[in-house]
Amino acid sequence: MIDSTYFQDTFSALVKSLYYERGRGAYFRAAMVGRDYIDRTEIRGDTSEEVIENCVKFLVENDITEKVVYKKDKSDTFFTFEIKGCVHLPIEERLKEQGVPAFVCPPINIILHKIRQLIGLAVEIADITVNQEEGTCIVRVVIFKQQ
Amino acid sequence: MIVNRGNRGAMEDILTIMKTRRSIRRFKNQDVPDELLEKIMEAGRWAPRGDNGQAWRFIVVRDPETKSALGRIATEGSGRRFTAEYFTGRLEERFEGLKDEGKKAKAFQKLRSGVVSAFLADAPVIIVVCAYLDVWDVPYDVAMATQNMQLMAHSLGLGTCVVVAPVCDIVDDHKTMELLKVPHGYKVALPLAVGYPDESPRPRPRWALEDIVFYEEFGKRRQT
Repeated sequence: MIDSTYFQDTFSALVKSLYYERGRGAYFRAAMVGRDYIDRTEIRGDTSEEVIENCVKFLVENDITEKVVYKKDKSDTFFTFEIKGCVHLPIEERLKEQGVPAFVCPPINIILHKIRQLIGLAVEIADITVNQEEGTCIVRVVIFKQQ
Repeated sequence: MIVNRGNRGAMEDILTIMKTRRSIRRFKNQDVPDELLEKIMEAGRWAPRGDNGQAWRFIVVRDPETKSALGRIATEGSGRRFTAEYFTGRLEERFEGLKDEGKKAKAFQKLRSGVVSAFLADAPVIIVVCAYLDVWDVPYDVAMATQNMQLMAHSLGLGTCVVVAPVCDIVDDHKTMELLKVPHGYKVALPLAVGYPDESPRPRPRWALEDIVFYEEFGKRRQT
């Protein structure tokens, strides 16, 4: 099997290219990255929480992440996800070295895509913070109450 | 017509057109004649372009249902993005100069609702600037065409506003492309609202030239 370094190098180069083309607007251009992969699998859920739970199960079973936990604030719409042991972390390390902020999170894109598709709610990634030392990412997300 | 190179008066006219142009978000309920729209698009057609790519294509939208759908996509997109910025505190940073808490709350509410982009539906005409992708300099070419169009519109007494909200997010972008039946190989670049202005916005602050100009290398100021 090919060394994963190859994919990490090429993926990070593509992400960097996108950032240098669109700057901060690149956030909004990367929202679909990952969704083709999840669409190969049938995910179910009648509520946001069920969809999140089933997507997280999928992400862990497919070795994309080790663990994903989340909490929401009192508005019930602002969610904070903590992702541990993600395969994309080495890519973020490369990008950080080159001064590119984290703006693509395929695991969260997958979850939000399924919420939009199955529940019909509007969703938006608010920000992404990478903690290389702890091997985690914090991704804050808005899941609206309506479309 | 301003064609005389080296004519100081003409230069000042151009600068005046540039400096007095505003983004117009409220339009009179008055139709824009086709001949004026054609002048605007003609100005776009003569924009600089890399390798003579001429990436620009224009869709003139007058149909109320289509405009309404574009307005809806724009409103939803803006609302989502500003709400996310509200939760992260970025919106607060943007408004740090505004001390009146009541006004600030009102502004936040307006931004979070996305209504700031809803006016797109009420523009008499939307010229949707699209781009052919198989050229080298797509975003720059269509941006230069769009600016030409805005300046021409202003010189004709019309107002314009570029509304990126329906295409800023890639998911919305796909909805917009589907709505306008834009084929693969092209993209929607910049929807441009056009109409007779029903407002006179004040100029927004601009950086002073000395703050943004460097000499010979980035960050190097002119020796005084």
